[in-house]
Amino acid sequence: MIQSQTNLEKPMFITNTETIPGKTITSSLGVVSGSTVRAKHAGRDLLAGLKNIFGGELTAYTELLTESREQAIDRMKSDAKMMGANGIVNVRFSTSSVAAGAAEIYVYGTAVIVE
Amino acid sequence: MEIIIFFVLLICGFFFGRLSEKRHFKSIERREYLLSKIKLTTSKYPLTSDKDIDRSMLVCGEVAVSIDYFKHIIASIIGFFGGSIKGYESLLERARREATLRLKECIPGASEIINLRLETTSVSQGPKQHVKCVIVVASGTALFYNQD
Repeated sequence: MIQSQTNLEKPMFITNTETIPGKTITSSLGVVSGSTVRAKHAGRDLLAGLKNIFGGELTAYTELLTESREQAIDRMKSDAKMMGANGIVNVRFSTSSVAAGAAEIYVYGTAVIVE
Repeated sequence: MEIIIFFVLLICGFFFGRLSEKRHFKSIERREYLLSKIKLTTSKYPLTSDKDIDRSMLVCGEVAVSIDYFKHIIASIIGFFGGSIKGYESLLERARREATLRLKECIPGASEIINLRLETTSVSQGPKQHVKCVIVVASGTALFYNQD
């Protein structure tokens, strides 16, 4: 129990670059990824339909995107933790529209152990 | 009756669309000026390589911007005759600049953001399948330097 708690407290270094600035990579453990597909409920979608006439930012969709992005990154982090990594490098995003009114955010990177 | 509804929607789209676009661009320019001291680059290495890096972290900013009815109709007309669709160009410019600003805003204490990447998608819905909105996701690595 106590061991798993200290595991959760270890910081995870995540970057967009090939190396983690200021640290050295000792080994690479493979590709990790996380993805979510989310849709807003019908009520919010109707308001978005109105915005399609007037234009402007769709705040409901932006919130949806932020939640999806956070969940996708969390899934990638837990994937890496299971492998025993403490860092993820070269993180890339891919977005696509898969279902009506829903978008998928896919995050992928290389899990590494850093000193 | 349907023609009246069509014209009402078109006029609403024109006026409110123009208004919201002007306001959005003004807000974007103001915030860009305020956040201009955070340097942004698409290269994988920091611009000042002699400084000591304290820590780094992945940052993201995203936005969903919709198209108004008037622009959509104009785009369909231009789509028939061919040519550049200025309305959509300004929409994408808004979305990209807003996403980059949100990226900077989520980490205001950073000195520099490297490896900026932009990802764009369009979301469409319904049987008509016209573009409902454009999503832009911006990501980068924020660097914090050791203060001397």
